[in-house]
Amino acid sequence: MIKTEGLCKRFGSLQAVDHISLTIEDNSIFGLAGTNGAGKSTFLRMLAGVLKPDEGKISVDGEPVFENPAVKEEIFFLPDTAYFFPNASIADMEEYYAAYYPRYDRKKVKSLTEKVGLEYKRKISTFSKGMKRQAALILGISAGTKYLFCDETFDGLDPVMRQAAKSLLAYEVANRSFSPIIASHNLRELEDICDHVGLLHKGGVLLSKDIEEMKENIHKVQCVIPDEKDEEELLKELQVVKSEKRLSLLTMVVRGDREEIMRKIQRRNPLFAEAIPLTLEEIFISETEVAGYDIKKLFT
Amino acid sequence: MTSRNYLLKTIGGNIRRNFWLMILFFLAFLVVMPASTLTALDGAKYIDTTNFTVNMTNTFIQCIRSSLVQVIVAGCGALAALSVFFYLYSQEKTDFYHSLPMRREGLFMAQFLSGFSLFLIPYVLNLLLTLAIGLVYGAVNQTALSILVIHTLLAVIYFLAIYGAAVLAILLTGNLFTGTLGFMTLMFYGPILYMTFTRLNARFFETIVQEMDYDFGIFLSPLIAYISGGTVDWTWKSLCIYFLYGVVLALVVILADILVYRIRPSESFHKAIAFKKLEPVIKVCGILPLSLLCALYFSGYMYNQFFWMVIGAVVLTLIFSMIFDFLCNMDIRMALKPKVSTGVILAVLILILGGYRTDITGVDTFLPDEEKVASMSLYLPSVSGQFQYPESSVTESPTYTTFSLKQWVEDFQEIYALAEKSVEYVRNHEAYASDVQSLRENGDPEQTMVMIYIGYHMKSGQDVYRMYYIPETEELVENIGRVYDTWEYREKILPTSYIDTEKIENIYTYSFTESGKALTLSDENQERLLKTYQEELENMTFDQSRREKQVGWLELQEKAEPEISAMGYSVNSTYTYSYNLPVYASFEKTRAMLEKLGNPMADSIEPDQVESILLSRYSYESGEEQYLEKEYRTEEDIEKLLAQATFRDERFTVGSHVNYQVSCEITWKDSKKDKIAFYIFEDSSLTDILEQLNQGNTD
Repeated sequence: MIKTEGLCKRFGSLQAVDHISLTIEDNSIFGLAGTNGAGKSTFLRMLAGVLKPDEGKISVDGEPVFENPAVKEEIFFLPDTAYFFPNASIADMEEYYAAYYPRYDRKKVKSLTEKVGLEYKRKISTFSKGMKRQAALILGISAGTKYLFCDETFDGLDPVMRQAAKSLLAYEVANRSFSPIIASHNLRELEDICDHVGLLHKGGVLLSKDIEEMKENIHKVQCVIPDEKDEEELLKELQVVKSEKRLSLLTMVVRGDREEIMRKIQRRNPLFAEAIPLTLEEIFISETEVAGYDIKKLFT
Repeated sequence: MTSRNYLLKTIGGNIRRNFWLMILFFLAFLVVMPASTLTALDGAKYIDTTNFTVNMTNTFIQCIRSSLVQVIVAGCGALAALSVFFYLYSQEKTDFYHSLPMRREGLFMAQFLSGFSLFLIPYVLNLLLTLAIGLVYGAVNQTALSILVIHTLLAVIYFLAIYGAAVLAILLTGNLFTGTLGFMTLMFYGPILYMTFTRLNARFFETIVQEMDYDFGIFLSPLIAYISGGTVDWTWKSLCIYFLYGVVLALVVILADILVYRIRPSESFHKAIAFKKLEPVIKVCGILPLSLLCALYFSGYMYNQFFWMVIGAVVLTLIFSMIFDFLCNMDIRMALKPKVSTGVILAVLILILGGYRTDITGVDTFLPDEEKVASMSLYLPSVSGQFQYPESSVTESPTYTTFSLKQWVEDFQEIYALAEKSVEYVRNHEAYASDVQSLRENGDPEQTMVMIYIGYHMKSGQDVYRMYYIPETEELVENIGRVYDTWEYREKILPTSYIDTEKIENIYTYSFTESGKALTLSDENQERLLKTYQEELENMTFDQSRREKQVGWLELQEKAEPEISAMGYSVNSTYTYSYNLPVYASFEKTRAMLEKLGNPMADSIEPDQVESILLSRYSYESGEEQYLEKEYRTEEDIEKLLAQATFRDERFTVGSHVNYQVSCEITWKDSKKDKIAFYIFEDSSLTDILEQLNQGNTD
């Protein structure tokens, strides 16, 4: 488990991370969302022991991470621009990493490289941007660490590769003690893989919640209510976060138990009624409005 | 994976990745070590076939001691540091290395040893090649091998020191430009600081003697120390000092590297200085001496030097501060904003210049309590300047001044009295500094000045040296005479105390009539002659020395020993060193021996041999420089002039009765003989003659 308390980092006059307190449970995929400059990279670099916090505490499995090789052996950091030695191949990098990470799985590197169609002995410098990211991810996953910190790792991957990468992470989480933390400025990229999402803004954390938990309490429904009076009463009766009516189709984002909501709608004799999946962005709209933020502005 | 394994793997990996650099180092060493040794030895093979082995060994040693090797070693230090620690200037690379599961100390050692290996492997390979070439040419003996080992150790130690300093420069900075500046600063900050200090002393203090600290300056820069250590002639003591300094420096620098790396923020890439809090400190420490030094040079060309020095220092401080602030922030508006650090520099600057201007520490009027002084030394160029000393006795001193000031006298009351007179003169002449300057520049023809160097050797162990330039008064002359007439002082300044008569190979005599005539004599006679001369010179009082005519001099030549190092090898081939000893009219025993040996040194010139005597001088009476000359042809005039002739070509001694303003030149009746020059003792018998000259009679 990773736990941060009042974590701060300042670069000159810029407060990059401002009192972040988060708990990241084991065996979950944690999404770290936020706009550019929100402090995601700085936060991850502190978690990886690269940067020393100005204030606050980080504990990884109860131990501090900075200058602690024993803890860092359980962490692999994939920065947004991964570094490879000049003229190095995946094989060379694998050999280098294997010297530092005790559970480094060299077979896995080879097999994953073959599966995604990368050349094991080809110079990485000749790879495309997406291929370099794939190579970095493979090298990171194969490190056998408990934690993998990915900073904008899916940026630059084609949709097929992105899906493959997500599957790979999900597979690792399912099969061993593995907790990736994925930072991204794109909520859509995180929504179908993360169990838990933290939203950073201006160095601070706006919220950090379990996606399933959030989804249980908020729903998007579409219905057609023939009687306008019934419709008005239904809107008053439900905890509507947002509603929109196009012709006779009423679309609502509603808080509460799904069964209960649908029962209330059925009582109004709808011509049509169904619950549809919420995007992560829509969930965030409802969750951040309490704090007075307009999520759309954050992510546009 | 054990720590040893990852260390070896990291070093191996770094070497593979920087193989191009190792090749570059190898080629550089190949040129300056084996290739140049091969060329030199092959050429030397045909030069001196009579002493083949010594010649080849010396050539081989000279190749090993080439300063080019040292320059390459130092260059390797800088490049190796840049190569293995350059990642600190890049975010991606810093993230990569600092996220690895190892402590900073471990990472540092892995990188540091990688850089060291990059140097060591090509260096050792070329060393072995050089040795092989030396062996093939028969140039390697035990001495050469010892020197090779010493040079290798020096190279390794000083490489570590310079390489460590380059790493420190990288650790303290965040980009290549400031890193390079930082490295140059670490290499030359000491000499710059020292130069600023000595130049300020020279500008503001008229009595300070700074050349005594010659050796100190070498150790202010690791680079200069290394080049000096590799090229100077070693004594065991100096060798130990160079080794000790190198080892201590290397250890201190490496320790500083580790400590700085432990606390260096990872986010320092692209910043001018890695530690923000150090910016003002570095700014003050860097700009202050630089502004002062530049202002010193700039104002040196001005008439009102102090005014322009202050203006120059203030303007340069503002300019350098702006440049520094711009480099740190890359923002011109920030650079133009007033800063506390700039104010601090200006305040310190004013304090320093004000302190120097008012001589707040009393440097020029320094006179310690007599009870605090253990011994004193005195160097009078007008007395000792006419002598030359055996080379072996002064080799450790850069000048005769320092050599003389190392000759301490414990019975120093008369020297102290001389110091008191000198300090009193300085105290009573507020414009002493400008006096000295104007006298030096223009030369006061009316006033004879005496230059006095005094060394105070305090009971506390401190040595203080001062130089005074004061008028020659009868009181001063008597005081100097009392110093000279004490045997303890005279023994230390007369060259005869240092001459080893057995080393003298040839003696030549110079007299009024014959110049450079070789003296043919047996070893026994030579020893007797020199002992006789020594006795007469040592028994001569100060008063005699200033009143007596000099009738010639002896030129003693000794075969200088080849420069021998601590290891016992010769640096160069044999050569001859000569020095001159004055012979006075009263040295009758010496002159008698010379006459017996066929080289008479007459105390006068026969007037009947002289055709004419030309007298010349410069006159300033009209306010302008005027050249006067007159030729004397009458027998009476010639006789009068020759009776007062002394065989000297420069002004020496204090309170001399020799008229150095009038130059005399003899034209012989025998036109084949060369004209000779001499000076005259002033005497009432010459009044008419000099009157005629002063009247400008140029007939």
